[in-house]
Amino acid sequence: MAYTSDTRVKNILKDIHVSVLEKLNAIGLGDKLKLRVFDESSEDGRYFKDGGLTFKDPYTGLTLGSNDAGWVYNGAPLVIVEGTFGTERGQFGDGQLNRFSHSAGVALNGFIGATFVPLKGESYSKRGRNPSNVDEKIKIKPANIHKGFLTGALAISEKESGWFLVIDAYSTNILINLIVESVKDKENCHNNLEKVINGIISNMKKHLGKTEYGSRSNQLITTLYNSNKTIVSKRSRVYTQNYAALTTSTKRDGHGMLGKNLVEMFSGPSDSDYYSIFIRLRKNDVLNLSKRNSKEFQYIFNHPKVNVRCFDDLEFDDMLLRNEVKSIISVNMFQDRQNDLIKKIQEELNNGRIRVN
Amino acid sequence: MLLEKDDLLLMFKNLQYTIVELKGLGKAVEISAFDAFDFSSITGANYLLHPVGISMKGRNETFIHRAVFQENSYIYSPGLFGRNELMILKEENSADRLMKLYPSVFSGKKFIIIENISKGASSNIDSAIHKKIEELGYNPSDFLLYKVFKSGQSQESLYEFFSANYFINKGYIVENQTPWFQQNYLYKGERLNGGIPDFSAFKTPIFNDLIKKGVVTSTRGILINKLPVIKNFIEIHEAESDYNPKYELIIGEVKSDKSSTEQANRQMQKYAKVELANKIYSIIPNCPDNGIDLFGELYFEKHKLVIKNSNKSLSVNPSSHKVDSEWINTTIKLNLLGNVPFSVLTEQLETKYSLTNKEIRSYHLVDFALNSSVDEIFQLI
Repeated sequence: MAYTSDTRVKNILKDIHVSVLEKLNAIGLGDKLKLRVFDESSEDGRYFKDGGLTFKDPYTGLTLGSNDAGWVYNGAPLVIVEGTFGTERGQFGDGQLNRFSHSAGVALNGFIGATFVPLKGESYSKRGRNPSNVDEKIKIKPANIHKGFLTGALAISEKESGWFLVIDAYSTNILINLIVESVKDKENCHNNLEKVINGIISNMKKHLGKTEYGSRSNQLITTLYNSNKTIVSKRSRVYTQNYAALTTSTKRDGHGMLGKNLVEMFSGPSDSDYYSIFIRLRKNDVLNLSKRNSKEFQYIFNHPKVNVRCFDDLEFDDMLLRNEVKSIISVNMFQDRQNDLIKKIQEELNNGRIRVN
Repeated sequence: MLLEKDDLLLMFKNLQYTIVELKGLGKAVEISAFDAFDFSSITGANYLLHPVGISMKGRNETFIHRAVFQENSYIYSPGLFGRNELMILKEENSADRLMKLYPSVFSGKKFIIIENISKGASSNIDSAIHKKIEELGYNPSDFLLYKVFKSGQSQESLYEFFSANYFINKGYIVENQTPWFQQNYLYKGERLNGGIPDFSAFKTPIFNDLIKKGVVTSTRGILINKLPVIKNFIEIHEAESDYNPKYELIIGEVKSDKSSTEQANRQMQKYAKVELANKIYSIIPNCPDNGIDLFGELYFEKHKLVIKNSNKSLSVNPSSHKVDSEWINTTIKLNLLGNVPFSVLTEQLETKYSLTNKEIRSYHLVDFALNSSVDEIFQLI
């Protein structure tokens, strides 16, 4: 089998558990905590109440992503961790959102969910930059934690009953402190849990910087109109994936799509519904997707605040534009990005010249 | 193939391991710390030195893709070595750090106890077994726990262990986390995609340098995961050798049952297309004949591993071998650097690249491995 982030993450989390117990033993609380971790990821997918590391969305009852390990206090989740080294294994962009739903599920249920990921990474890549004074075979590309990931995590932490924390995978002491202080808090001992959480949130905000989410996106829609020319959403998105991209397992676009839906739904205005507008899908594609048993599609098709629309659901004022959009359904957009056309669609949706049914 | 605890015990017995009866625990495999490390590194079996169970699997990650498929670029990832938040090189799984954290891994006699996990049951039984061992008066640090899933899952790595044992005893370096290509590779006008071999065994001329330090012999190879911690197991010593092996790469595709032979064949055909491996085997316990003349078979007959070689040669590309040979050598040297005390290593990097210790990055480490000889690295250990 290949190297996976999972094995390394689980090794590190177990090493952390050993350190946590050393600290708790020193204050007589070592017997209060259990680590739930499995050798094989297949068991992570069971619900927490059934002994696993997965949670349901309390609003929809639908299953969200599974986690890698969980610290359990009195049988209840204390700190549940999803780890990934994606930012140093070639995940530069939206691929990082594949894992957004994992800690989201924990936080939506009122517990502490932590995503453990290098906030700044460098991936070795044949297309990277050759650092000075080292062999030309060594080339690296920097990667940063996805700002949407941080935006969504902060929004969930602010609006929901639990915490969605993002901790640098190389700051193991912060995770150790979070767990130790959580135990002390449960035991009603003097603790610094609030301080530790505030420190993590503050670091997340520091990495997010002043960027306004989606300000450079040509797919985010801030005023979406229906056929009655009424604004129905202040935060929606044009998705450009076609049926193959959403259903081919190696592409994993379905995972990223769920992450993006969650990020934008939670970070958008709370009085607004969210529309996922798949401009390259037809009615039949949507019907087929809705029948698929994957948690990603089940989630977006069944969430009360998510509205899925496809090409056939759009009303165009400009019929030439409609024909142009129709013509890109079978285009390979990896090779031909169609940026001008997507920008035009964004403008037309925002000003109501394209409307949703 | 549905595997029972007794099958596994017989497989070990046929490899000359002793099966012992431990009061209160039943039959267990007695194994040296040296071999137990391989078992844990390959199968992920947990040492019960802590109630949570600690495995040695996945602790020596260096390169995650082969340079030959990446336009001769080195695709490194932390694992054996770590870093901090500012990307400054740190220790992670070096020989010294693992010795400090888990000293019992490296000495004494070990016992593998085998537990069946029924379908649907939870497998995180480590702490319960740890407690039971302790209550029976044994030292849990002497034990490894291997879980046999009645659902049949997770058994491929077991066959990787037995295959590793075979090829180590034939003088190869082996690994069961084989870097290959990432998603796809354009070769001779064809875009090849999918699949990573489960197992590989290889030799390059650098093997002789390892013999000269007493790490291997011409007939006894090593699991690559053990190279970064080899000083914790053996005394490094000078040895005479003029062994001169040529580059050779063997790869294996593992399935736990013959019902997946077709799938294995499709994968092996993809591996053959890149003209890198000298030999390719299916490793399927109940499949003595995969039906393709080009590929050999490893399988079990009466619980004993049997190898059948193909009498046909695979097409190979000598220039790919040259690139891969240099990349393998760098991989071996990076792994050996795990034995160097971290402070010594950072001093070397500071001097060579004119850095302060707050400027040392992983690419300095990779470059250092690329440009140092095995002998130079051993002088630092």
